[in-house]
Amino acid sequence: MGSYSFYLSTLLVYFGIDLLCAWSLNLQYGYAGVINFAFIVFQAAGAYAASVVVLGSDTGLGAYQTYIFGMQVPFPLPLVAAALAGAFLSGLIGLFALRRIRRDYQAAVMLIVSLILFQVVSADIHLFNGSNGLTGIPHPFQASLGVTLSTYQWIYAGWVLAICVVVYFLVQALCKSSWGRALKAIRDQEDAAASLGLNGTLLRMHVFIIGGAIAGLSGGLLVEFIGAWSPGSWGYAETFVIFTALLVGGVGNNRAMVIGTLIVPIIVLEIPTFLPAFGYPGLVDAIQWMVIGLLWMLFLLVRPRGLFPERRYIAKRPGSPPLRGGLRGLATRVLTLGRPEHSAADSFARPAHSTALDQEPSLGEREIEVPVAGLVVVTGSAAGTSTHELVGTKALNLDIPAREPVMVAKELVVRYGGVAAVQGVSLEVFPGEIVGLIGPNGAGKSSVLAALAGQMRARGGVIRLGGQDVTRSSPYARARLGLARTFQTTSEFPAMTVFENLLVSSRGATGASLWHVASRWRTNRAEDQAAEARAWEVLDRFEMTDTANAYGAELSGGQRRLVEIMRCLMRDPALLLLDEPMVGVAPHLVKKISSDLRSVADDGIGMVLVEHALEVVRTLCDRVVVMALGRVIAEGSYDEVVADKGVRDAYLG
Amino acid sequence: MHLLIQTLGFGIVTASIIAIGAIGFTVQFGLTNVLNLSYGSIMTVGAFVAYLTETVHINIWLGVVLGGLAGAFLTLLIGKTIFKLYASRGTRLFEMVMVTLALSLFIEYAVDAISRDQIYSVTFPQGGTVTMGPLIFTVSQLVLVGIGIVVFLLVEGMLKLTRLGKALRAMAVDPQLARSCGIPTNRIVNATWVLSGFLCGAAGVVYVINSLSVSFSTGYDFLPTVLAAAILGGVGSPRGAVLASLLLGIVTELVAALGGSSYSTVAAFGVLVVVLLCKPSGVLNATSRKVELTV
Repeated sequence: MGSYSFYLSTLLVYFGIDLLCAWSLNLQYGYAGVINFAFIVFQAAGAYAASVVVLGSDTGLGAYQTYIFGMQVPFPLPLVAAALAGAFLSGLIGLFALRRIRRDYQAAVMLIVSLILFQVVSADIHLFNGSNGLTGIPHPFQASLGVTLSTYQWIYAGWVLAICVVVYFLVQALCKSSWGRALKAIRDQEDAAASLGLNGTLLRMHVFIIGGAIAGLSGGLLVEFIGAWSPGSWGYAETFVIFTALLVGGVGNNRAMVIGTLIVPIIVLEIPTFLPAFGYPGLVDAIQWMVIGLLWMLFLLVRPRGLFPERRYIAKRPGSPPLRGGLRGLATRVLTLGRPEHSAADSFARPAHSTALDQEPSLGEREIEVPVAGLVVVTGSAAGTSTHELVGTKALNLDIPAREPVMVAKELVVRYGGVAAVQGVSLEVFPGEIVGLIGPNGAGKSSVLAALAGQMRARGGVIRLGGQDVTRSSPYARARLGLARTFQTTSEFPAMTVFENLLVSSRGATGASLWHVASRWRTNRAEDQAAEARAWEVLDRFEMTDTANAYGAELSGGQRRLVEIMRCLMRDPALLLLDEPMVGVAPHLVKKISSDLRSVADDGIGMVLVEHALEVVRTLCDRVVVMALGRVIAEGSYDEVVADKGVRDAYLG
Repeated sequence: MHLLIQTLGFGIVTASIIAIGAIGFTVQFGLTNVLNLSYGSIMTVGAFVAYLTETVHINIWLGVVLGGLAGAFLTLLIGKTIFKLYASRGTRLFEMVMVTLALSLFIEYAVDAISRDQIYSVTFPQGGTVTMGPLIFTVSQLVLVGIGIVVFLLVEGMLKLTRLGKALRAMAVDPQLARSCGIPTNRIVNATWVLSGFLCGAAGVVYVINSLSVSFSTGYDFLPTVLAAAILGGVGSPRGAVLASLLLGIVTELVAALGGSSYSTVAAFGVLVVVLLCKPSGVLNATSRKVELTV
């Protein structure tokens, strides 16, 4: 009986520790898309850290084990040290591994990193006693509790599970917040996410560090339980156990991690314990790893998102009657353009929305924090817009005189390798103006948009947004200054619902900064509700309410375009770049979107429209710029450029 | 000074070994877009072929060819069955890398089970020594360098001069367009699996010729270096792979000569990290281009 109690309590401790690992990995892979093949290294970092701060100083050369630090700090500081070590190592590795690189490359780099660290720790005897590892790490409180080892094991299991509960609520809160939504956006479509003001590298860094801290904590808990730690405990293959648990349970679903952890590390790896011994020593281990590999491959083939994948976010409309959104609702905006005192670095830390609120504290905060009984109280003509309207109009009046252009580009040059796709194009857009950019295929229109929005670096020329030089700014910094764009190939977030697609674009609840979400956890809900109200209104406007809970990947091509446009309008941009927005959109909606765009522009948004449908250009654009072979060949009203001989030659060859 | 030159010589030997693996990897990855982490386990299989040829007293240099053939066969088999199956089910690039790692785990531990979890030593006559100015090599070291140079020249020449090579390069840029131009893409992919698989298996043998022992984890010890060279050199560029191999080989031997032999591979990865830090876009950024699996 005693041995079973011992076995079960041990198993329970391992279960809790593996569960922590699974949550950490789910945060990194399930939410942020980081394939962390180095995972086990962060657990090891925690384990070593906890060991060396509790072991006391080594007795110098000739001692049976040597290691760095060597302190005797009391419980629970070793666990704190473990979490910090995991976080610190994550930050260090994240510096070079989390740049914008292809995710399969990233995975390979992680694998390499884990093998390097393994070699270093195994080879260096002074760091953590080399490949022999550390032993004699005491169980916390075992002596003072005065209980049998068996009882102690159960107490320790309870302690681990208590930590699991705390970590679960923490992780779950993060995942459900607007920050978690932002993570999914960068996971799904990094370019598009950047065009909504999200800094992918920074978001990944944060999630990587949080995951690293949890991994480190799990290592600390593990080493205080087993009392020893050596490179043998953290071979790279251990990472795959956790990955397999994640894939079996369900990617992006924290609750499913419980199931995954039960199935893979507990059941699959414990089965051999109950089998009669066979073969030579090591055969059972080898077969175990083969099974893990097969299980992993099987799930990637049959259910790549796991048994219980991420649950669909179902948006429920507040009980109010449908809102007559109205053009004014759409067109209101917070303008941060033309405010030199707000550098990109300023808006970097805080979403533009709150920057504006800070300026008008009495107005802003009163208006935002009015949810009553869980519903947004809608005042004025449109949902959740009264704040935007007041602040926005004011900003508009104060900061951007109508005659100042929102965007000026001078002598732009864009090159792909040796080919100059854009050679000295200049373009100005004034508030309220729709500029059509047309030209034959390969004229460089999309390259101009990419240079303006920052996806391509301009090799020459200057770009100013509202007076600020943004030629070298990143796409997300430009987005935060009020630039929004759609892409030629649609870039909705496929694994997020239409409603989430819109929410992630809201300036108030963008989730761009972990600090913002964490420090204002009281007001997050209010911000979310304001964003939700606005999302419903935009959906109504584009007759897309029925698709609110559809995944991006489930939409038709035309609907995806609409999602992109809606996403831009959620942001109240000052400058909107549209790359062939009407491709695949139903004819009756083309008219409707045209009139919407017109009315949006009338409220002061500048627009650049790349479009092949000349009818749309004719009806919509105030001014048309014609490009061919990377240069501007004509500019003027639609009728003027159509009459131009050079333009006819360019089109008809 | 003398030490430095001799180190340079050893660096070139090491570089040749890395380069054979890295050229195969970069050609495979460049065309198929499968970042194939099971490459390491195929190298292990090649290495075991070397051990077997040695035990039945077949010339070890013939073993290089036999190991290459084993690698080619296995890679073609995996590419045509497993990778194709996953690609046809819509597996994405980043999921594919996980598939290859899981596969690698499977093959590696299958080899472990078959090889009874033992380390085997491979011994064969090294030949005499050759003095070239200040440099002293064993004959087998020179042969290794020779193999490296021949492989590079053959692959580079094949890519630049033959119809197959041109088709391969066209496909690497745009497989759809290549298909619609009448290039038999299926056959090109097969050729790529065979070529890269051959180099992979041969690299395993060559590695063992230098290290003189083999176990189930041999390929995994070698893979990071090969991977680092391929990543440093840029996707699909044999020339880049060779240059990166030279850099890594020389750094490895230099650190070993300066007394840090247990840190020599670590130092090589240090190079990769530094390059990643300083110039991530030049080496790695392939996000602007739409890439898809071609298997």
